[in-house]
Order: sequence, then C-alpha cells, then structure tokens
Amino acid sequence: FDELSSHSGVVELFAQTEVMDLDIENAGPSSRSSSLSIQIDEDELANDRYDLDSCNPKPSRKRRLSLAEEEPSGKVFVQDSDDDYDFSRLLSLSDEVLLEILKNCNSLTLDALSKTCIRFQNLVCDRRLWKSFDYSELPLTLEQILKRFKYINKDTTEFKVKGLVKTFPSKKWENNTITEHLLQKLHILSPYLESLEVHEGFLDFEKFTITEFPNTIKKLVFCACEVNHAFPARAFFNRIDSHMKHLQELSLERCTWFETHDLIMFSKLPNLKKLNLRGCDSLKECVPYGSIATRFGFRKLESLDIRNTPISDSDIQCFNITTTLKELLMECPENLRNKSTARSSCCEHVNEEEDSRLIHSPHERDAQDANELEEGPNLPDDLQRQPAEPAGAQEQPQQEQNELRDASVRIANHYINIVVRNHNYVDIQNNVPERRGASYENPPFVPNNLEMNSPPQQLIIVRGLNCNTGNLGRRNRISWEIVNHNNHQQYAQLFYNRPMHRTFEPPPVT
Amino acid sequence: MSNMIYLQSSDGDIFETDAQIAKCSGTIRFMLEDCYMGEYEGVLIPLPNVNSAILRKVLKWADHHKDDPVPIEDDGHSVKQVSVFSSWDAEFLEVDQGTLFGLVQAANYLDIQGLLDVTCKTVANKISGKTADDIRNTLTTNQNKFQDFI
Repeated sequence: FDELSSHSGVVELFAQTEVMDLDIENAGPSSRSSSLSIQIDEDELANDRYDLDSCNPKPSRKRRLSLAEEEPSGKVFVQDSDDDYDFSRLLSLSDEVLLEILKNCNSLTLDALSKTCIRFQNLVCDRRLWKSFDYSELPLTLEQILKRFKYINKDTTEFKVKGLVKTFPSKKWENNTITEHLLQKLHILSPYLESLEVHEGFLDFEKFTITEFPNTIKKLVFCACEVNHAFPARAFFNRIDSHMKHLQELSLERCTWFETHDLIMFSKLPNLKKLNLRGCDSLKECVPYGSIATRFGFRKLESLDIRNTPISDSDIQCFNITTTLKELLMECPENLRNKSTARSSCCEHVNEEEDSRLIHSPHERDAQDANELEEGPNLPDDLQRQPAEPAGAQEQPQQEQNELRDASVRIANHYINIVVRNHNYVDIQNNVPERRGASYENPPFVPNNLEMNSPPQQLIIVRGLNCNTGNLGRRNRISWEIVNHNNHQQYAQLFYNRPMHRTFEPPPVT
Repeated sequence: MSNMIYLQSSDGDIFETDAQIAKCSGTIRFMLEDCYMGEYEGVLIPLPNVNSAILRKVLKWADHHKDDPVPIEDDGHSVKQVSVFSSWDAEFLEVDQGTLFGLVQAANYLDIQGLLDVTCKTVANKISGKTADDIRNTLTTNQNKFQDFI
C-alpha cells in the first residue's frame, strides 16, 4: 500500500478502492522502470478520481484516456463499432450467467471489464477464465505484465505477452519483456504451461538462457523480438534439447538475431514438429549447419516455414533429406523479388487466408500417405543465375539486377503441402520414374531409396514466373493452384489428368 | 410418440409444445422424467422466471435445434465442444439488448446449454473491443447506482 502511494506520489486512496489497490500491490513488482510506471500510476489516480464520482454518476461523462495501454484494445478489435451497444443491464445478470459470458471473452476484454467496477473485478479473477493468458495484442511493460500475474493459475496453459519493442523503439533497452524473475514466478504459478509466446519483446540474453524457461512447454514463439546484442546469441539456445523435451513447435518469426548455428540446437529437439523461421534475415547460407542438422536431427519435423528469408536453392536442398517434412512454406522476400512478379499488397492479404487453410489441411489428409521426402536429381547450378526459363508470353523484361539466389529453387517432391510465392523459378523434382506408377486411378506408393513416396497433395505457386513440375500432375491426388503465372496454359496441359482441384489464373494484364 | 405438454410463462400465457422439444431444457426434462415419472402427457409446467416473449423465442430456438445431436456430458475437465454458430442463430439473436439478456437468463434457468452458449457468445462479441471507459460509461446508469465503479 505504501509502495503504491510512493509510486504515484499522491496519497489519496479511499476505502472503496482498497481492494483493488491491495490486489495490485500483491502482484506488483518491487522494481519499476522509470518512464512507464508513471503512466500506470496516472491510471490508478484516474481510477481513484472516478470512484469519487461514481456516487454521483454522470453517464455522459467522458474520461480522457491517460492510459497508453488502453488505446490499442480499442483499435485491435473493432467488430461491432456500428452499433453502440449499451450494457446498462449487464449488471442485472447473475454472477453465474456473467461468468458464462466472460468465458467467451478474450484477455483484453476481461482486462477492460476489470477496470469498470468492483463486481467485474472480482469476477474476472475466476481461474476458469484464464486458461489462456493472452496479451499478444497489447504492448505491456514488465511491470504491467507482472501486475496481471494475479490471473495466472495452474489451469493456465497459454502465456502470451507483447513487449514494447515496436511501441517505444528508443527505450527498448530499458524494458525487458521477460526476466528471470518473471519466468520463475510463472513456473510457480502455472506449472503445466504448454505455450509461451513473446511478441515484440526485448530479451536480455546476458541475464538468462533458454534453460530458465518452463520445461513443460510444447510451443515456444518469439515473434519480432529484439535481444541484447552484447552477448552472442549462441549461448541462449544451448541445452534447449535436453531442457525442452516436449517442445513441438518453435517459432522465431522475424527475429533478426537468429543464427544458422542455432539449427544444430534445434535439430536435437526430440519432438520438434513445426519450425517457423519466417522472416529471419540471417537464414541464408545455412548449408554448413543446416546439412549437419538435417542429417542427424530433425527426426520429427513436419512443417517448415521459411517465408521471407533470403534462402538459396542449396539451403532448401539441406532440408530435402529430412524425411518427415510434410509442409514447406516459402516466399521470396520483398527486396529480392523480380519486379514483374512483385504485386500490390491487396493480393497479399488474400494469400494469407490461403495460408491458414493450408496449414490446417494436413490434419484432414490420410494418414496413410507416406511423408517421405528425398532429394531429387539436381539441376545444373547455372540455373541460379538465369532468372527464368523462356518465360512464355512475358511482357516485361527480367530485372537483371536481381542476380539473386531466389532465381531457382528446387524442392523435393514428397511434401504434402508446398506453398511457394514470388519465386522466379520453381522446380518440383520428380525422380520417380513414371513407369512405376502403373495406374492413374490408384496412385501407387512408389518405393524410393528411403521409404515411401507420395507427391505433394497441394501445391500452390503464386506469382512466380516459371514452374517446372515434372510429371507430378499425372497423379490424381494433387490439387493445383497456380496463380498469376504466365505460362498457365502449359500447366493446364500438364495436369489435365483430373487433379482433385485446380485453378489456373493468368497474370493480370498490366 | 408425440406428447404435448403445456408451459406457463410468468405472465400466465400457456404454450402448448411437444415434450421432445421441451426436453432440450434440462430443467423441464428433469421435471418430466423425475416428477411425473415419464407420464407427462398434458401436464402443465409453470415457468415463473420466463415471460411470454422470451419463452416464445426459446421455443422457436428449441424447435429449430430439436434435431441437433445431444452433447455428451463431459466430466468437467474435458474441453467443451465449441458449438457451431450457425447463420440461423446469428439471425435469431439479432434482437434488442433486453431480449438478448432475457434469453441468456432463460437459457440459464431452463438449463439449455446450446442456447446459453450462443447467447453468451453474442454478448461477449458485443463487449469485446470496447475499452474500459466505453463499458463503464454505459454501465453507469441509474439502475446501477449502487455498484462500486472504479
């Protein structure tokens, strides 16, 4: 109590607000950072002031937002902005019913409700509402996160927080999103945590390593996080393999601090199924580490997301020997794109939806499909330098300044889902001699060097220039979607043999 | 077999309905099977907590959903099946606030899990996205004047 007063410097706390203040103090940290805690305190002050008025309520009263943290919640979910619903009768419902309603609310709404009245504040603390502690939409300081720790209980299985890296870039060095203290506390409060996500957070790698994280988690996400660069990132993931035995999904989306030698560590994770390295700029020339990692590790890896990485053909080849991979997502980074294939952002949006559909699709597929993958015969290396094969009826000349590595990508033919976007040249290898596939009616499993083979069931190539798909289309379980390709007619002939679903869409006329 | 029973709302109106439809309500099912020992043809059940307008809506909902698969009783630990929010439900629930809250209360009182789920979800959708100030402003009306607002 004293502590809070000294924070704010104002001692006007009233009996009515005592409950709340005690709560905050219990959860509150003893340390605080300079600038942002002031904003929190203003919040409390404003709340106190309002409490005075509530004896004499003025419905029309507009309270000015002094609160940085409340702003985003308004912007993020604007669903029913059209009808200005009023909830005046909400409080006439019984607690039991209100709890049923609150079960359908996300963490941000619960947060907002807890700031309205004492009754909601008490209701929101119900442990059944916090299976998922999801503040991934609301940037918070460490203090604000810790303040909300009172909600975490042992039913909590998801912990998602968002840091301030994007909100206050200049102050990022001062605001740790995750600390050792927080992790210890989290482990005590929620011993069965399954998912931990840090979005846009700042991590001080000098203070802790991956072994401080809860070892029960199955999903670990660092999205667009910044780290203290003073220390090499190598040490951070040390011993992740022995520590996180249950980890199934690892995402380092847009984390620039990812280094290719981390792949070695990841490859040792015994249960890793999904690896997301989307937007990791440093994922290039990963052959030295990648080839070792894939040869000896990644035994259960099923899905690999390497969109927006400047990856080269040889890097892909590393992963072609991983025999369990079912899903590969690729997209050429913006700066490497050929101009004629670069397109407006509205298309981008549509494609996101496709992604989500794709990502879910493997579950529906037959388990009998062998998820086998094997390296196909390589094309000559000079393909890397020639951006595309005779690019059909291409109007615009090739942009030669992209001497880039994305010019040619070869993918083994055993993935179930492949999404390739904006790559100039894609060659789906098919090293299965057709004579072995006897009948089109019953697509056979063709034994290959390793085990079983199956063609990709879904191939989406969007806005590439050229695509050589071998004779994959001859097997009827494949669905094709080829969008914005110049030589779509050629494919139409190639795949005439009744795939389940096909879409050919020529590029828009410019 | 079609057993008609009668439900009496709080305002005294009597609704005739099929027992099978009424049985989507746990409260009524319990009453019919335990209190009347299965011999319930033509019985009158008073529902003092539900008024006519709401009861009419509830019966309409129950009639539409009478063929839904019966949810399996969970032991409280397993994750509850997320009920599908059909477009019919969405249209059905495009009502004013009083009716919506009345439906929530009726669903709770009559123990109709499906209806409770969709109505609660609807209310939750209305709330989500609002800031604390937005909500508080609408809550601070005369009828709530004894609440402790923060």
